[in-house]
Amino acid sequence: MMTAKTTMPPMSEASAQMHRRKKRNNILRTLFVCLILLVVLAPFYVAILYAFKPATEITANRLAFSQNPTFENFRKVIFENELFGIGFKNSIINTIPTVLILMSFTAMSSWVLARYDHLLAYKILYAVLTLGLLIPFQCFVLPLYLNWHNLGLVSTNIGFIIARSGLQVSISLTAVTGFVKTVPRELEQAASIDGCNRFQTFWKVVFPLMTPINTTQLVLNTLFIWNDYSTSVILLRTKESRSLTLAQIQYFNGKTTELNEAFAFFILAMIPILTLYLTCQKWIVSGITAGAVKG
Amino acid sequence: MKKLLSLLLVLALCIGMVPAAFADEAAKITVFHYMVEGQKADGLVQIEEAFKAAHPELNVEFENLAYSQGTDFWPQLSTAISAGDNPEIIMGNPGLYTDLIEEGFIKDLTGNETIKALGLTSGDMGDVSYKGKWYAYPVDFKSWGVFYNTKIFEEQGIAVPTTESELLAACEKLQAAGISPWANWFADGAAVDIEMRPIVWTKALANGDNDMFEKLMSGEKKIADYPYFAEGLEVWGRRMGNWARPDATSNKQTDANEVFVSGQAAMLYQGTWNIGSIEMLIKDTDFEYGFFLCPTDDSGEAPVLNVQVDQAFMVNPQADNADLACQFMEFWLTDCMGMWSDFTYQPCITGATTENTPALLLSLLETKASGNTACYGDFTAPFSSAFTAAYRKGLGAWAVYCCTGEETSGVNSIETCIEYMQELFDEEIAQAAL
Amino acid sequence: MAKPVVNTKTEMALSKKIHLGNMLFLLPTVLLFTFVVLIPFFQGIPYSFTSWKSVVSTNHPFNGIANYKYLLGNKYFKMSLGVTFSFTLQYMFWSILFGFGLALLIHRESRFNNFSRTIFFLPFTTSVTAGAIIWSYLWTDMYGTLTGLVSPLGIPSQIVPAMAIMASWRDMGYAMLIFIAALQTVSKDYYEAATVEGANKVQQFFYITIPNIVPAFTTNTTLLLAWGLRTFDLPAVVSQNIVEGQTTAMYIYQSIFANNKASLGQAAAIILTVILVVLTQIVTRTLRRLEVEA
Repeated sequence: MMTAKTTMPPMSEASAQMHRRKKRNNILRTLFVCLILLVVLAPFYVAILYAFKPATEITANRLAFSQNPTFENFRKVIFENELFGIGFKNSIINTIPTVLILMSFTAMSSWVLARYDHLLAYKILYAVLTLGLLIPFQCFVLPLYLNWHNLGLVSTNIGFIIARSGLQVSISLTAVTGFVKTVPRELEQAASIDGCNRFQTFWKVVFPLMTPINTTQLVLNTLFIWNDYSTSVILLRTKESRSLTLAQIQYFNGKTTELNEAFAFFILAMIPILTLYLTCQKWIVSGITAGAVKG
Repeated sequence: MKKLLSLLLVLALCIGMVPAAFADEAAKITVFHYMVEGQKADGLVQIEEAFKAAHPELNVEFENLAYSQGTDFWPQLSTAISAGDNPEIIMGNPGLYTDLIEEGFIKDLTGNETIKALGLTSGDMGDVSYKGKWYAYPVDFKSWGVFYNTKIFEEQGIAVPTTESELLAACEKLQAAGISPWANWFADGAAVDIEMRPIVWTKALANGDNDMFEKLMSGEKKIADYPYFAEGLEVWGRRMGNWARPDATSNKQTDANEVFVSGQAAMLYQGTWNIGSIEMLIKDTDFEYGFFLCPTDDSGEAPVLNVQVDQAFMVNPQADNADLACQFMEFWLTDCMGMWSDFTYQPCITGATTENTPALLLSLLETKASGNTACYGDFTAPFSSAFTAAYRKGLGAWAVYCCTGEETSGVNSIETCIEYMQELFDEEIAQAAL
Repeated sequence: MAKPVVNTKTEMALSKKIHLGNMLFLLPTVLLFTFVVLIPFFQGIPYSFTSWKSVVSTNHPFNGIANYKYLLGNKYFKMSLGVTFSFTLQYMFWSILFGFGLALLIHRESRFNNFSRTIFFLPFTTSVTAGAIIWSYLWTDMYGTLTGLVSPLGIPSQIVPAMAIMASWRDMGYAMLIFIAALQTVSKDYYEAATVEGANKVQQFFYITIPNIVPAFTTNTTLLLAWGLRTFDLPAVVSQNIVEGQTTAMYIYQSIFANNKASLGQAAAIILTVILVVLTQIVTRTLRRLEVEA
């Protein structure tokens, strides 16, 4: 700053004024963003407030942070609620394969759908496959459940994985196809000249090029599947098969009094997903850029 | 990348299938229930453990599936059953599950010796019957009234009111002293319903309108044909007065309990199922509360106790271990009633007590034994779930109008409230005819 | 790519081979989608022409189009559609307004902006149900305490705006990221050229920024529209018993599962699907046309 001042010619009155205005605008903008940040964070404050409050501490002022904050609620959730462990295990077992299936399946299909989108048959197929975005889940949940039951897939991890992947295909496909259209095809052509067959071309050349969108999809799909309620509540019935969301909602369903534990649970359930998001977030914007905008 | 991916996939799928490999040989009893509050779910486990200990030769395992009654219970149960997934024990009062009975999913228990031996009244048995036959094992009962903060009542020099005027005077006094009279929880459909029952049930039964709900559901009669509803709305409206807290219509049961226990409100109109929750909240504190039946007029006579079977369990004859399930339920009714009551703070239908039974439950049992009761089971049929939902929508609109002054669906008076409810009822009747 | 010109037998055979290979690439997705969505969807259609009541009942006699006729003339079904549309519009409005506004404020790379982005996206990592429950406490504890007003969830006529705010809180971060992504693709050269030619900030905004990010608007509108019209988890938590907050998806769920009118609910579901498909088609096409014009 000092050097800049000494080397630069003295500012004219007008440019100094502009400089000041810019600075003021910047401060105003930062303040405004901070204000919205506070509003966005308010619900989390409420959750944290309850989660750290001892169960018997009930005060008239429901906004004040506890006088004796405690980890007791978290301890109880982790060690006394057996559904927490079961739910955690199931959510992980359900989410990882689903996300991987979605990644490989939609990458393959999107490549073909994007490359041949000038042909009517592929256009129609794309339209049908993305219909899932529009059909309300309630419309086919009952037949789906009955089929799953007949196949012995209800309350199994594999049944959930298949169903949840199928439900997520449409939204993933839209984004990935959009992305593939932005990937230049010269590299593929070079690979095929080099004697690669199509599968080799895809896995060796195209798939690595899709890393940005795949990362984005990885994170977004993980969010969708980790937080899924509507599908889980129908398809996961036995205690052993319940996911974290179901275990969590148990606290709120009806008339339970363990509000503080419920919020502790909420926070605990968010930690893995948050970690993933924070690690991968720098790829998310780039993936969305290409995927969404050209869709 | 590809190899790694497929490897991960296979690995994850394998992990997913591991639990399926360990199936045990024990006879499994699946219990579908909606005891999501207080200590009830734990109480059930206690009884199951007691049963297992008493009958080690049976090698029974229990699987308890709990869903909230208002949202998930019936959807979960009906989809399970429609797919041929039959739980042994289903919680509920048969009158609400007539489809299950008609389709043969509920065991006819008429004349069952264990139930007979309980020596219950017709009113009690009505709640577990359908078309004159018995379909469920009754365990305990519920009623509703006013929980009050004894300390606040003492400080303000308020005695337990025995007439409506005394109650309203107490409200005014509390309001003047800067204490909210009521901790309301009108966001919950049950809250608005129980406010009406002391008048609607009691008066209808007293006038011999035992078939009221049946006729309202068939469309043979209109709500306006029964004056009890208008009277109920009026009396309840007076109770809501002009002292509703801003959170009256957005709070649910848990929130109202907190408002009450933190001393922000002096009274809580609640069901007896809430005793366990309050006890849990006030553990290790010096909070004290009392309970009285809500006076609805100025006659000074002791209010009538509404009685409805609370926990009741049906057995599904199409389930694998239906007989074992009956044996378990009969074990519960004969050997575990006191234990259940102690654990859950629920008054047993049989009046069973132990040395630990709290005074509040004793007095409820005493009133019930005196026969000054109006039992839901004395009606020929209860409201179905759809009608209950419609009825509660109307009552909810009334609560919102009285507490906030906001009109919902045109409800701004007793007449409009009844019209609105009737409109919702007609809708149900029209849909049933499709 | 130039369209493949098929003029010899070998090329035809080659193109056949290519399409066959394409099928292999498509097969896994198609199978998955067919089994999970398409087949159950078609299985459900016949039910809508019966008078099936409780899902446990095996009795479903054919009753023609009675369910459809009833629904199309029914006040409460129409009300549920009204709630759905009103919710969707408000939800889209807030999500796009804040998503776009925030994107404009923080799309440049800086520490503070990156941090803000992370926070604004944070709500999207929560589940709708848990978020809705937390909000119901926020309304009463924070909003109620600070303003002395009744929580909007306690007043049926205010439930839809409240739900729209809750949904936008969760999803505006997602919309924001799409806008940021689009803003980052706009080359700086345009702005520099415009500055040289004497265009002011406002002119730059309307003549450079807006045209370049129309595709992002399309993406957001389409996505939010589909999400909004299908919304279910939110009303399931906050407006179970209130007609004024009952969306069509909720109406369907209640009919099929809670009130024992399976066939009526199925018919309502099909009507909603048709509305959704038609509406999104219209909206997307209109927006695409705008994109071309821009």
